[in-house]
Amino acid sequence: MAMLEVKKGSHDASRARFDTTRWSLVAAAGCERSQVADEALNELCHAYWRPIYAEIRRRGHSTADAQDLAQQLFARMLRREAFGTADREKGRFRSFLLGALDHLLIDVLRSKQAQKRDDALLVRFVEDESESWFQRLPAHGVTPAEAFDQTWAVVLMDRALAALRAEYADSGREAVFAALEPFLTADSGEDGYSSVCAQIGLTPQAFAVAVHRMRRRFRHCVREQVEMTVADPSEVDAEMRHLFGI
Amino acid sequence: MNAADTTTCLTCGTPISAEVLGGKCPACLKKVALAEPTLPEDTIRASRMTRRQPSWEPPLIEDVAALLPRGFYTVEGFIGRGGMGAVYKGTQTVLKRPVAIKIMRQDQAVDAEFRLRFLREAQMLARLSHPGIVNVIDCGEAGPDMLFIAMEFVDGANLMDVIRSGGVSEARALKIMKQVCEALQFAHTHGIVHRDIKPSNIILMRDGRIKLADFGLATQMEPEEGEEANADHAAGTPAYAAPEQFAAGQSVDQRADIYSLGVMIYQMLTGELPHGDWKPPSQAVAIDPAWDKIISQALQPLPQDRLSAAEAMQEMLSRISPLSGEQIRRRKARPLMLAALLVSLAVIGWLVMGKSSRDKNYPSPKSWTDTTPELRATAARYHFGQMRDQRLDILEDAFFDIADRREFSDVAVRVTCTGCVWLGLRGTLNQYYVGYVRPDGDASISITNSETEPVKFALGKSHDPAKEYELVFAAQGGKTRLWLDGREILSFEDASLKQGRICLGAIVSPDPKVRASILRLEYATLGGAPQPEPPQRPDFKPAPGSIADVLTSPEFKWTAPENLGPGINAEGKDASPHLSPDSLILTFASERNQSRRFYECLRDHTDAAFGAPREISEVGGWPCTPWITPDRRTLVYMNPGGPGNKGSSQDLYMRQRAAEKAPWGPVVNLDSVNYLGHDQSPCLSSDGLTLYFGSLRSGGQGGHDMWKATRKTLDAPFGGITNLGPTINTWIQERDMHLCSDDRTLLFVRQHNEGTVSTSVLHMAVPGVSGGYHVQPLDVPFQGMMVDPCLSHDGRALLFAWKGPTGSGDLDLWQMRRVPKDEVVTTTQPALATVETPFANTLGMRFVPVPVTGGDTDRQRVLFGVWETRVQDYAVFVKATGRAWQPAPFEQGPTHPAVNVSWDDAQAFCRWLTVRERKSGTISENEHYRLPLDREWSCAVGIGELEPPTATPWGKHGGLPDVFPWGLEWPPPADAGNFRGEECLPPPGATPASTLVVIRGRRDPFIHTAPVGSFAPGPCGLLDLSGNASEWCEEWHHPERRDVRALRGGDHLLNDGDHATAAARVASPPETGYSATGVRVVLGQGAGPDLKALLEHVPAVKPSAPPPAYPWSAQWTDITGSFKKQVLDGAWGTVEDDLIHITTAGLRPLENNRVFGDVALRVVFQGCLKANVRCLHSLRCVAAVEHVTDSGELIAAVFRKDEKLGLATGFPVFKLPLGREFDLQKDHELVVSVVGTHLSVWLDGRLIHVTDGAAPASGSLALTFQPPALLSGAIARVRKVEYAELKQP
Repeated sequence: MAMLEVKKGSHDASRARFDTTRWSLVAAAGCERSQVADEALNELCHAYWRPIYAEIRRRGHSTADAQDLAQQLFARMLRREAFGTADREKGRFRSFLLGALDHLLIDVLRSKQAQKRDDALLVRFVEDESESWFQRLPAHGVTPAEAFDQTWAVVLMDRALAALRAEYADSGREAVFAALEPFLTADSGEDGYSSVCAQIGLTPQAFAVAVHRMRRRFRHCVREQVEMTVADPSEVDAEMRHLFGI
Repeated sequence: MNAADTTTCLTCGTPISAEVLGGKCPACLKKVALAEPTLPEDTIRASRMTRRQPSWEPPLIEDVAALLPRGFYTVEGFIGRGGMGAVYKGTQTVLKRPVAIKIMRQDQAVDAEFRLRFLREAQMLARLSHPGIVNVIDCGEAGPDMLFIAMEFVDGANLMDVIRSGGVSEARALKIMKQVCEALQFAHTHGIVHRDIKPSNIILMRDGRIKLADFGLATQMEPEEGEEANADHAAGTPAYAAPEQFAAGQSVDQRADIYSLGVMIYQMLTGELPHGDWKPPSQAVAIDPAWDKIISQALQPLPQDRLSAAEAMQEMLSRISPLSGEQIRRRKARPLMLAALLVSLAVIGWLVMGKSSRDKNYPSPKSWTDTTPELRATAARYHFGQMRDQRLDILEDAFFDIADRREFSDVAVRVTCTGCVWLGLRGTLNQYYVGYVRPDGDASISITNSETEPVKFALGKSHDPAKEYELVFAAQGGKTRLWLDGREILSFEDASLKQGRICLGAIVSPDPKVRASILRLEYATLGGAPQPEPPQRPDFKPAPGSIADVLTSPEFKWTAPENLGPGINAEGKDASPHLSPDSLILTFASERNQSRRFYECLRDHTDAAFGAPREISEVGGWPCTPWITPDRRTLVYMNPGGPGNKGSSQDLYMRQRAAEKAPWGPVVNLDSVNYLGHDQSPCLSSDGLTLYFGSLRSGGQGGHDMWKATRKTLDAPFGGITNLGPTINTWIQERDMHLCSDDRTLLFVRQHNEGTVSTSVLHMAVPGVSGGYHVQPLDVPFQGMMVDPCLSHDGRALLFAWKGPTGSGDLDLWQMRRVPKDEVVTTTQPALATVETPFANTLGMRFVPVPVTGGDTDRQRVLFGVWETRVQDYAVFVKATGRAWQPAPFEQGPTHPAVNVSWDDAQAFCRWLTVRERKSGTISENEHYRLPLDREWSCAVGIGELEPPTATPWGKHGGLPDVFPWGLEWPPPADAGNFRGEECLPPPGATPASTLVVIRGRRDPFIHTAPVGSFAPGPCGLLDLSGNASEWCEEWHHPERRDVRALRGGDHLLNDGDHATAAARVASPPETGYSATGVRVVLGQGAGPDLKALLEHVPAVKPSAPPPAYPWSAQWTDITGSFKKQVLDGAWGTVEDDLIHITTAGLRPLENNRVFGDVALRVVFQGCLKANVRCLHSLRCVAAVEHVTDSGELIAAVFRKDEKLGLATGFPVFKLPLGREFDLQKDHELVVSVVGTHLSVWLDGRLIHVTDGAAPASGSLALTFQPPALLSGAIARVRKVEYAELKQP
């Protein structure tokens, strides 16, 4: 999976980040291709092919077909073929992508013609990996409509985690991160803390604070990831709520 | 799915898989992603206690713009800030509509719920459209940390500013509140609660409409758990917030707004917030009592008891009718003297009529006295006005008293002016009765009193203060009236008003069209006896030679105030100076060392500066104003906190002693005089029997008065306390009195013009024949607050305390002298010296600045001695140091130039003088006395520019053959100087015929030396530059021959033209002087040579042993070669271009085992940073040249004592800064010689150190070096090393 570059000082509020997030660039560029927009789109596609693949599979296509179709979708994206139509959804990459997928599948259904694969396509699949990953997705209790978003959310959080880990690593605190990570979600209370505290040399109090901080940082990282997929800052909150506000 | 791979989350039961999200539960992680997790309670508390709340800085305008949605707004300016928010001015880009953008920091602890709520409410607000509510245009997030709200921009003032700047009238309050209620009701009806009603959220527009701002949105931030809402934080502003807004968990509805309204109304009307047990507003202020009910109903603590609807309040408001005439009089708690004040209003529909039409009561005295010139003078003196055309523009709010104390029943004042000018009566109890015209929107006249607020009478817009008008204020027959342009508009009677001062004031209006500008000011007496003229009685003539005469005679002038200097003034307060009759002992009180004590300074004569202060007597408490009788046996002073003190007041005390040098007797409280109040500034007559003092006790004229008491004998208590009477005491403060030496004349300070311009004026009071005093102010060129004046015995010096422009920064002792009007005044501070006011040091030597160009002291401040050093000056030095000095072979008076002074003597004198003067504080550590540089001397004589700047004295000698110090003529004119003229010839006819060569055709009165200053001064005001005695200069005469120094200026032995030119130099060995060599001292900048060591070290040279001479006749043995070999062999360095570069440290022995007493070592080197070239005469003592500073500008010659070997002589370490002339890159020469018992060191031929006695018996010659690597650019190079055997003298 693509590693993200960790943005130093990404928590600096005064930096205007929307200019550099990926989807906003692409959305702003619209049908025009530019190197910057291309790169942005590439990176986004890199990041989020799994949900697409999962969605295609969920819709009943075989593995081979799913791969094929995913490729086609991204090819379309890169060629900006999808851009003229889905203006209303341009605000969010997720929904835009989903919309584009819908269109593709409909087209495929109609024409039953596989499109040529574009050589310039940068998206690569590792076949085994994608399938096994799909297999491991929690699959129950979720409506089909929600499934895509669920997957998307998982991918997004994964990227956020990686970014968080890299943040800690950058400041030489891998050990701290490793110790704190299990407690990111668990609210096992302070009993679990004591042994770990000894490990990294913090008092339980300080440990609790450190966990609290990490969670906060995680939230920030998640938010950053969401920002990358929306065109407008005003969309971020809505997207967050949509993805995580179960 | 592989069942083995899935587990479920312990918390939520969702299946999790190890491959997904690293085994974390997606559902739980989502929760984390969205919501802010909370910490356990005590962790929160613990971490908060240690965390410091950072103060929030509002972002810069550019940053705000970046945070806002792009392209929608431009941010142009910053309007203001609060605790958690800041408001900016901007424009909605597309619509070009001005907006106010408020950004608020959203606390990270608050969850998304808050933002949801915020948005919802903002949406509702956006739907509110009401003229009284500021429209919300947009809101959202500005970056991740902040929220923004864009609102319509309303141009106006907010109510808080209006309240602060002067209060709101009842009618205006009514108008405002009605609108606020209406707007608020509208919002309430639409379900919006403001939650932060306060005056700063009400905007008042110019047309009288109001707008409510900051609705509901500022208050969403609820306090964090466990934390209190601080003033700028949520839940409204505490001062205005309803009680339920503070209680967690309670619901807050529109009634909270009602409460805030109540607080706000209260503040509008009374100017204060309702605290604790607050008074109903109608009791504090004169308003309709109906307000009370509204406010009390609004301020009910429980919402259910409270007025519940804004429109209900509106209804109640409509039943209030404000008092007519828009007057609000504020009542204070204390009953006032003005119970008798009856105000009769004569305000009618006012029309400005021509000045010619005046009504019947308009005063028409026989004549008006024009006091405009005095007004102009006062304005100029205190800088509050300036002339423009014929008018005096007032630049600063000011007022001044027009005429002295007058009975008010008889005077009128008339001013012709524009702008806001007022005339008034200032009563003894500080009441002011003022009529004036205001420059603001409503022109009005008002009567004010310091106890009450003004009573305003609006004249309406018909009076234009920008146009010239005439205001007359008259007090006649118990009635006081005010006329504007001839029409009476105001009058009142006041039984308590009997006397006071007429005063005029002006207020500077912000509106330039309404400038306060006075054309003419007059006053007149109306009926009654003609008032006496201003104080100076024309028939008062001071007795000639009396103190009064000295103080007032035009034959004398005052010098400018001089600080007595850092030697006397310390950093704390120094005050209450007192001089002995001979002016040689100065006593004063000082607060140095954190306590107040009395100190005493001595000096030898009145020209000299005082020596250092020493404490004289242990007097507990906080004593001040010491006064000592001439026989110095009785001391009286004031001391708050002395023994037997009655209450907390200041009491007078006395101590006596049997004789001047005897110890002081016990402290005696003068309780027969002291009373429960303030007594101060005691003065005793010379016989000690009459005590004058100031006191606040009653029975006088009011305020500080002057009193006296007498006693029969020195042991009897004082009695017969009497006030000095109304001729000297007025109701104005008289303070700080001083009894002059004639035991009659008094000096005191009257404090004038309390208020805007306050200053002290020194007065003199002379007792009159028929009792009473003649009092007049002294025209002293002094501005500011003079404290504790003290006049010297002869009236020639006035000492006082002042917080002046220079000095320690607090009260210092200053002096002004009374000198004949033509006298040349000297100054006690070199920095202040000018040619007209020379600097005088403690010996009385005088110095003037000489502009120096070129050379090493280019453009530095160099003060030249006005005279050649006199016998009397030099004698002090000789006496103090025991220096040998041969008397001149002819008779000399004390002011003749000292001769037989060698260059070495001159150097020693300079150094001694420097130490002495530094001790006495007349010069600083950054100044030192020295000889003039040759170049400087040339500048002093006026040829500085004409000589080549870089040549040595030898090179310049003989130049400019036609230029003499006095001009171009030869022989010299009569007043040119003291030379050897025909006066030196023996009478004609004597045998044998004289072969003496003299200047023919010229004679001056002096055969030998003349008193300094007998001839005309030179170009810089210096005397005897030519003739009398020759003057040593600092440098070597010849660059190579380091054996002679330069003498300049000619002397009384001069008899030929060649040596009389301005450029002539005479070469002479430094160690000898003769009957014409003298010294002129210069005060230069810089720290100078290290004096302590030199002085302690250079003993008085006994006549039998001449000081060591530079061994210029030594036969040097060059050992450079063997040294070079040593260096190369030992790898200490390298050799390049004949220079030995030393790179490593170490001791380099040159010759071993010498018996000393006969050898000199000479090294030619190029000095460098931190390289020591040490010439060791033994291992036990070391002479070193050390570069001290990185820039290489200072070099020192250092002697060090080797502790281990215990040398008895104990050479101290000293540093000798050699100044910029020491070039690191050039060759320099160091010579160390031991001759007899002298160990001498010369650097570049200049003797820099001599020690005597206990020279080492044996040792070795050596050189040592320190590694230069420590500092960059360091070099140590040796060119030549030689030694010589010296013959014993």
